Amino acid sequence: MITVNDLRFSYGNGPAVDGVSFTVSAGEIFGLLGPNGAGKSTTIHLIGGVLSPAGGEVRLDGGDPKRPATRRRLGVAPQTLSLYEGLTGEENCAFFGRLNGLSSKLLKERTARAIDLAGLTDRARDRVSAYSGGMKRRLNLAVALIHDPPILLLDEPTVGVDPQSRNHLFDSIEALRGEGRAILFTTHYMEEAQRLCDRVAVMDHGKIMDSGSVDGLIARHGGPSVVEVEGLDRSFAVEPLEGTRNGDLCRFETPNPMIVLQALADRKAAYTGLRIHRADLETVFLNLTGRRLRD
Amino acid sequence: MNILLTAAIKDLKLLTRDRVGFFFVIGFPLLMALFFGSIFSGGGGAAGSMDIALVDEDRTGGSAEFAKILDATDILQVITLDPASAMEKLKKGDITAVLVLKKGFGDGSGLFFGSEPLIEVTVDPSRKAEREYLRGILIQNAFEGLQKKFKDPGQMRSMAQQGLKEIQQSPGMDPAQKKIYGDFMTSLDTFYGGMDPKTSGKGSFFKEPAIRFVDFRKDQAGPRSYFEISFPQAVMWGLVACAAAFALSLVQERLRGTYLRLLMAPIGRAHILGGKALGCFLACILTMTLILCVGVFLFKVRIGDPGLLLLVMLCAAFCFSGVMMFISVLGRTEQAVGGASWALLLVFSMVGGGMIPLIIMPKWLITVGHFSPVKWGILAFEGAIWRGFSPADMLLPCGMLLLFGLVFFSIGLTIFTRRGIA
Ligand SMILES: Nc1ncnc2c1ncn2[C@@H]1O[C@H](COP(=O)(O)OP(=O)(O)OP(=O)(O)O)[C@@H](O)[C@H]1O
Ligand SMILES: [Mg+2]
Repeated sequence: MITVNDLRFSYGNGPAVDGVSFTVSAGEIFGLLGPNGAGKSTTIHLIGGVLSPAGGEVRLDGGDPKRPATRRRLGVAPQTLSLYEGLTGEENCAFFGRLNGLSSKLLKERTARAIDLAGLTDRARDRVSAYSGGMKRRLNLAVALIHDPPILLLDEPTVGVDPQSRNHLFDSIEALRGEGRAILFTTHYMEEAQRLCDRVAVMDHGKIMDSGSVDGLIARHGGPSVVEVEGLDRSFAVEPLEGTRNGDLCRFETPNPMIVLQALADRKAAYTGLRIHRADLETVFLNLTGRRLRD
Repeated sequence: MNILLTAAIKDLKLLTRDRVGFFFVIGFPLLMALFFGSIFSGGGGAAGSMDIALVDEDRTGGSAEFAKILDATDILQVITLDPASAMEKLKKGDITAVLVLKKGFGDGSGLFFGSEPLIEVTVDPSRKAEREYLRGILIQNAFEGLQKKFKDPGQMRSMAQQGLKEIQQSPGMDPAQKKIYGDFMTSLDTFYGGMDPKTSGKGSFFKEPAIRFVDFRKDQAGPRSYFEISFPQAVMWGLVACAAAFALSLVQERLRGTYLRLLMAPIGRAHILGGKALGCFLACILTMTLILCVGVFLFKVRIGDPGLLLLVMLCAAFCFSGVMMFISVLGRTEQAVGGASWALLLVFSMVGGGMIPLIIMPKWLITVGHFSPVKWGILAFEGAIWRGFSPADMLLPCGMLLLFGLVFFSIGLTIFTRRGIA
């Protein structure tokens, strides 16, 4: 379990992490969402004990990540591919396995498993420099798993990969949750978060804007859904449903699209097309963090 | 320790897989050794300056003046010493040769009768260049002064006539004796009278002066071939390349994220840097061993004292592991560190005698060279290979290597840890 309480950190030019608190329980995927420069990676580095917090504290199953023994419980897939290009996939796994104190016997078994999980069995003995971007990403995750850690920090583990690799990674991560690990996951891809995460937090300027279940966030920050109806019967009065008519197209903004659909059905209204835009995490994200470009 | 070794082995593996890096560590230094070794073995290049010791057994005005003449030449730096300390210095390689002026040198009589050579030069026969150089310089400069005295037949003739007169007028002399000396002086007079001042001035009378060269071989000291000078240099190049390669790998770890992963592994920072230093240390040892093996087995480089050589190798590996740490903080990017490392190490090598042998370097550059670990490394290796250093002689160069290692490592470590990640 990861516990982060009022975490603060600055690189010297204003706060990068500014009072962040959350917990990630075993068997849970917690998504940390935020635009570029929000402070996601910094938070991960603080949790990994690489940086020392200026305030607040981090606990991993109750232990301080500054202590090496605590970090034995931690597996990290950093945002930058952290692999030795001159070593093979297998050697990368084995090297970090040894650093994590695995015995030679266990090492063999775990390496094979991690490589298999990454779908790299055929290429395990090739140098990483010969891997494609997707293969490197998968290996980057595999290396994090080599010592079977109960806590995982995955910093944008799917960046720059094709849909096949992405799906493979999703399956892997879901399987890891199934094994009861606590997983912290950062991403800019909202549909990813929506599919994988049990809970999410939207972060910006080092602060958590809001957090909770995906549905809860959408309900709080998504705004109304929009029902668009094309070629609707002229006799149908839109005003009672707070709709607007613009030529051939009618728009209804409503917290519950079912009310509009029900009304259409009740009056047997004729129309040629219908679209429902439900608020999603992306809307929540943009509502919470604004549309201004980030650096 | 296990972790350190794991990290070190990983780095060694990476180094051997990087063909270019590996070439610079082993191939390039060997090429340098062969190149310089074979150029200078030919007996080509002459010294820019040469230190010699002068032992004056004659102790006359003539011998003192001779020393002055030698010292006044551009090339020779002469110190006057007693025989024991002169040989000691020669053994250590502080000087190139020992020059002994025998009794009777000052009056020049030996030159006349050519009995025993009046100058004895002790020098390593393998140092052909220096030896021939010395011979040339002695003939050209030193004998010039003496020859002047005898060059003018007129002056010599009047000296002979004067002598004859004195003999004839001397009252107490045995007549038989008088006859012998008188005949001699007369024949001298005749001899000088028949001489043409012009030809005698060209030195036809004084053939090449008698100089005895005494070989100073190892058993005593001195490199047997130029390869014994070029291989210690090559070893330094190898070390320099090792330090540069590992410094670069440390920067790469930082930039490519593996350092971050290492930091989050259940090991301390000391393990990470210690592993890197150990890797560099082992790479240095392996490099030195490889280069020296080539030297010993293919180019007949003799190891004077294997025990001391091992000590030197350990000290040198320690030193360059420290240098590695320092280089790794000279820049933040691979290009910056790569460039800076070669610049720094080039200067180290240049002033330290890694490129040009110390024996032909100008004095001031040799002084600057004291600040280069390469200089002490070369001295220590030569000490163990052919200079015949005793353990006590080794204290200074090995101590300097350790000191440089410690200082560079501390500076590097301080800056490195202050920088954090990426
Ligand atoms: N090493 C560093 N030195 C100085 N400032 C830094 C450093 N690393 C990050 N920052 C700054 O800290 C802030 C947070 O950066 P961080 O990398 O944590 O963002 P992020 O949410 O991971 O962004 P991204 O999605 O682009 O990875 C940014 O303003 C960034 O410029
Ligand atoms: Mg980031």
